[in-house]
Amino acid sequence: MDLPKVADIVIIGAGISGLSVALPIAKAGLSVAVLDKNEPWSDASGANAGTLSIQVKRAEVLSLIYESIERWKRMPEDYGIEVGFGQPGGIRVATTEAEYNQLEKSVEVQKNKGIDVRMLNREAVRQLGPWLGPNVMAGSLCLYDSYSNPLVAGNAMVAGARKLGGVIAGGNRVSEIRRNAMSDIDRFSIKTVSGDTIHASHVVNAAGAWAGEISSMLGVKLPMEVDVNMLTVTEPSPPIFNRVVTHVGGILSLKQLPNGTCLIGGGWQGRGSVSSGTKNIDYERFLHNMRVAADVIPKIRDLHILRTWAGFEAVAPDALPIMGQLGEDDHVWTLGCARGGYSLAPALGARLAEMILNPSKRDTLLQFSPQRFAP
Amino acid sequence: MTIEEVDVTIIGAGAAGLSAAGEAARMGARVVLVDDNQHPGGQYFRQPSPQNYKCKSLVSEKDRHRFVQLLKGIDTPLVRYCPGTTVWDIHDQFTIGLADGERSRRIRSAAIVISAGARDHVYPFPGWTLPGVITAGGSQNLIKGMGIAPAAPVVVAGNGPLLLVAAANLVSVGVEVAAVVEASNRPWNIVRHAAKLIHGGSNLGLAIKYLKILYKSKIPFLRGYGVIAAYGSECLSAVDVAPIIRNGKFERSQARRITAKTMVTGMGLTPSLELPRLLGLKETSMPLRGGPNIITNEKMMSSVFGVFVAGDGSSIGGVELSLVEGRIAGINAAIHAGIGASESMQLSLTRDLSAHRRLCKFRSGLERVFMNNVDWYDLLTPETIICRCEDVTWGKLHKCKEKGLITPLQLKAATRIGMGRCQGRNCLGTLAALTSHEGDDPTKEQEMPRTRPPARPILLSELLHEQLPPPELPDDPHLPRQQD
Ligand SMILES: Cc1cc2nc3c(=O)[nH]c(=O)nc-3n(C[C@H](O)[C@H](O)[C@H](O)COP(=O)(O)OP(=O)(O)OC[C@H]3O[C@@H](n4cnc5c(N)ncnc54)[C@H](O)[C@@H]3O)c2cc1C
Ligand SMILES: Cc1cc2nc3c(=O)[nH]c(=O)nc-3n(C[C@H](O)[C@H](O)[C@H](O)COP(=O)(O)OP(=O)(O)OC[C@H]3O[C@@H](n4cnc5c(N)ncnc54)[C@H](O)[C@@H]3O)c2cc1C
Repeated sequence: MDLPKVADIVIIGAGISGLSVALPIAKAGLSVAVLDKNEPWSDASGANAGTLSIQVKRAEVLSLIYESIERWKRMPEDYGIEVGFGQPGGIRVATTEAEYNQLEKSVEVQKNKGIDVRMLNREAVRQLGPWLGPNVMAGSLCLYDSYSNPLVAGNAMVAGARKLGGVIAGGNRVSEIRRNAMSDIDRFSIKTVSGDTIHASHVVNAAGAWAGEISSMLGVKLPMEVDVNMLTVTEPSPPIFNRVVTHVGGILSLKQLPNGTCLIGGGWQGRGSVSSGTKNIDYERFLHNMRVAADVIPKIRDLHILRTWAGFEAVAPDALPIMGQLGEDDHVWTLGCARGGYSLAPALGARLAEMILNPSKRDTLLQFSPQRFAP
Repeated sequence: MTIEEVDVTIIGAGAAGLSAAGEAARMGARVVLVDDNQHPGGQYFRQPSPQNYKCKSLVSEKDRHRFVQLLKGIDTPLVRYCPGTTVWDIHDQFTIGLADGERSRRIRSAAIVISAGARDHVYPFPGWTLPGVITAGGSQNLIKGMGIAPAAPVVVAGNGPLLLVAAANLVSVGVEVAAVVEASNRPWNIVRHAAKLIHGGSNLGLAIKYLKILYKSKIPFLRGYGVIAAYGSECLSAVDVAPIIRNGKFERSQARRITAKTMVTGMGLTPSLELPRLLGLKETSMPLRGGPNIITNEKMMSSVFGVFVAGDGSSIGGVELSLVEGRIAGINAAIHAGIGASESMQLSLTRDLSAHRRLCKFRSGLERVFMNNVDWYDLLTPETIICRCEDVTWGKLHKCKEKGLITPLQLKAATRIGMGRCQGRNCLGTLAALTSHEGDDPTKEQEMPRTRPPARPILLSELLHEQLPPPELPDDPHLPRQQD
């Protein structure tokens, strides 16, 4: 694909973070180019489970998660795109006494933050989820818990951004970012490995697991770690359960999609590293993941597993989003590294777009600013 | 938790696996031989249980004898044969995960032989998913493996030597074959490559036998033709055949219809690559030999130290080559596991190596006899199904293309092609071929979905029994990360 020579804003990384910034910016009429080293949406965003859960989120992001799920839901109206959204509500389960206490505490915190969530005892949880296993001793219910099918969302968001005039260009690895004299359009020269250069007045680092690398190109150190998350999908089956199911220990996420396949995750770690480019299944942890799943919903035992995979998930040391101005220059931005980054990106992306477009909004969400890691 | 340890794991008990196991055991290696079928023998030697036999046995005296010898080779305490067991994972040089339908467990070994055989290469064409359209391997399994004769009349169509084998076998069990339709049209190549073909040894005798059977039966033999469509409402009732013209396309104006209840398609075999791909073994493309082949050295060792690949699972070569490769791999795998080779083993290895060279010459001759430039994808119509699990048609893929979705990954996301129960075994090859010239850079290889465990679908319940150390629980993902 031919790259433009100039764009108002160049975004590095065509995952959910990059595209969530690109859509509102393109809609505002600015020229935007999103570059990705591989195909768009082929890393964390393409690999993720698509769980949009409120209940599992940390207190610090609860104010954003509502908004973000609303934005997911409104994608058809806002951008005319179908992102495989469903809002079946979610049950978060506990299977031991300790987990029960933990769940109760967490529900308390969430209620205090105004989240519509309620505790269910053994009977109540079974009434809502007769498919839950006997070891489930309690649960909490949040009717806003949702999902988006990443397979559907990826192509849709890319197409949506393109329809608004955005350039989404895979196969363009950014290798160098140079700051030029302070002329406005030519503030940055962004070079790709294949030798192309784009000039831009703003740069957004949305490079996911490689955000640290891009930051270094901009002379800023961004502390972050990368997990290798595993996920499993079963054969399609007639409906077994009808909620997004999570676990208070964070060791399970389970949902059945409209096509009948069940998606099983839970933050179990595979093997590999960004530096080696490998992301493989860890046999024992995979088995543990399946056991937790079968313990919580016994009926899925009878399903065949068709595929497993793993993806790189970038995480900040405090597991909170990193969003805002990167370093000294108020033309350099970053977004990513949130736990639950898929859920939160539409809200964070929209806010970041506002900050870029409107200097008076630049003090939004300072708690997530990368400045918190400045030495 | 204890993981059983052996010297050599052998996956697949066909011609290659059985001979590998026999040789490794003869060296003194402790061997586990895993095969997902209930009966040993693989595609070629497997025999039905007598009570199921409904048509004439096809097994020659010679093969019966060879099979008995192969089974004798594994009839030692050194070989543990696990039938009805699927290898679904290989990790950590070399632990395999195997499941028998009830439970999964692990075995670790110093060396591994993958002899997982091949499967029929199917090019989609209009009507190929109709009941009654079966592959040459399927037909072979029916008559040889289960003793069942397919419904007549049968049209046998495709390309390559297996087509003749399948047709001759049908004739031999008394099934009416309406026509044999072979795409290649270069009979003179037999003369041209005679110098190579002469190395075929017993293969040659067999070929002549098959040709005689077909000749005697006076079955119409259409050379330079192909089936362009199969018809039928519930199941197959007829096929259309048309000549293939010089550019490899089909001359539809000269099509004619043949009544058939069964169509046997044989477009060659392609190695089963799930396990090699789990390990990331290096491949090379061999269009005349089933497409992607595993690169092996003269020891049958792949690009990964200690992993040997033999038989049709590495490169299509037929049963004789598979037997020889199995023996070579078995001996070398045992050596790799630290077992010394006696002089007599060395000698037999040398003999096998020279047999291997001879058979390879024969193979390259045979391949040239059947060489063709047919553009099978010329047969696609918008209604033709490409991925049968997810019901994806060529037209659907084309629509995506119009929307700018052109790469395999984009098409997979958009249509779910390759995501069904067969795990893409049948359609991903087609997808790769159909998209190879798309994309931003037509010279660049397209990124294909990766092969991940399970290599074959596995029941979740099978994973619940193996004893494991207690889990290190993942960090609660929604709390700050624990510092160590
Ligand atoms: C298996 C798994 C399951 C998950 N499940 C969930 C879930 O259920 N719910 C949830 O909310 N979150 C989930 N997450 C987390 C979520 O997927 C991520 O937080 C989110 O997708 C991150 O999006 P991103 O756009 O920041 O990163 P990515 O999607 O990784 O995108 C970054 C892009 O930058 C590109 N890039 C990198 N370097 C360069 C360069 N030099 N030049 C050009 N491009 C470059 C990459 O190729 C990549 O495409 C999961 C993660 C994984 C791995
Ligand atoms: C129609 C037809 C006719 C043929 N006729 C002839 C002929 O006349 N002459 C000739 O030379 N050749 C012939 N062949 C080819 C011959 O069958 C093969 O060359 C030979 O069987 C290859 O032996 P193999 O051991 O490599 O594989 P196979 O015999 O296919 O054995 C592989 C075994 O591995 C098992 N397996 C695969 N994956 C796994 C896994 N993950 N876990 C556990 N087990 C697994 C399979 O079930 C199978 O039992 C014919 C083939 C066909 C299809």
